[in-house]
Amino acid sequence: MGGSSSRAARLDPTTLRQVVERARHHDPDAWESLYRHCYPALYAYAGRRLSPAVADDAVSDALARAIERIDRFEWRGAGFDAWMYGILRNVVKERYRHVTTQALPTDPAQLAQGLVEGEDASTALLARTEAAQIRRAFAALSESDQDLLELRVIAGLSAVETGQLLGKEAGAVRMAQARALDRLRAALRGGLDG
Amino acid sequence: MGDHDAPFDEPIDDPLAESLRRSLEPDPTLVPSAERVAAVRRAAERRAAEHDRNQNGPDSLRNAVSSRSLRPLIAAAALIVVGMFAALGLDRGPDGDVEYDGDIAGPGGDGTLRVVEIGIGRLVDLDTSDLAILPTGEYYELWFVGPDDTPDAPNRISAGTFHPDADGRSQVSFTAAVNPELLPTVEITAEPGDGDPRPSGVVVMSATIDR
Repeated sequence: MGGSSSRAARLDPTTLRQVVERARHHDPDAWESLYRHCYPALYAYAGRRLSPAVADDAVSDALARAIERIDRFEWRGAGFDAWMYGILRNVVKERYRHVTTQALPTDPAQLAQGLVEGEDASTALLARTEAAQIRRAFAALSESDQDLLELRVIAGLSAVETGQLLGKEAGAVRMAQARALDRLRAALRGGLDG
Repeated sequence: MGDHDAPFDEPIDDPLAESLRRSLEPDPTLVPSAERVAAVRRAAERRAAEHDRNQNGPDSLRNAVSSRSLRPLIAAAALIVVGMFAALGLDRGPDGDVEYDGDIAGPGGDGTLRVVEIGIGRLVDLDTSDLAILPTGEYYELWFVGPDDTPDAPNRISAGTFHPDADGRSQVSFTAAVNPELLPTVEITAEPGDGDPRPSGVVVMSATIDR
């Protein structure tokens, strides 16, 4: 399972291109850099669908598949990050579809863990509570709504890139994202009312 | 984590999108364990070794083939093989004319497509590992499409539907009673599984049979 370290490394676009080109020649250093570059986002994606240990397995499987297929990656349409999301999405659907997700924390004591008493702590607790409500409402959405919002909102992919991964046109992605956000809003309202 | 040189797209004009992004933002300090990093490095090294082996294999063969002493022998063998194929009619394929044997590509990825004329119509073989796994209930459909095809006046025939297999591969064969001279475009669409038999219009791959 993942842990904290100062070696976490997001690559800027120019460096990412250079590293991907080295990775095409199966340079282990380049693949390590790409792994570290993608890991937080890919682990977060898998972690919302799988238990922490299994999420780590899924990210490793996605990297192994990327190493096998890097010859076929092209800098057109979706970029490298979107390509990795596409691979991980398939890995999760193919290999781990029967594995249950982890339970989201709801207990106020759990949410308050690590906070120091005082005004800032109250503000932080409120923010954590709101974030927890949004995460629960998000988890209640359909698989396709979650996928779409994950790619558009959290991964920051364009409608065109998202459409390429989901087999939809950009216009359909924009319409679907608006509807998914409406459903998220309704789920939040339901959660708050309840 | 979109690449910054990705195609421009307008921001999502909904404050809930920003709240969602903040709530689900990955922890940027997360890193894979040392064991997993080592495993990825080993996988890259194995792939590099395989690549080197593949490079050396064909080179050795090419070097052998370029040897002057072997050239007359190879030329004679090639003539015999071509003669055998011509005599057996194998240039027509095992069952009939090969009308298309090449790439099929589009926003969903690329693959290979083979269309062979057989007694009852056409045998269509598709092979790709690029198509995304669709949500449950959705599927891909392969069509032969003619000119002036529109949603209101369709000019197309479906050859069948399919899903990628558990390994993400779509290696499928269909038989279709179609004439590619009349319907020369092959399209693969992603279908929502909403019970509407008409195509969704979401074309993920296509190819043109130009005879």
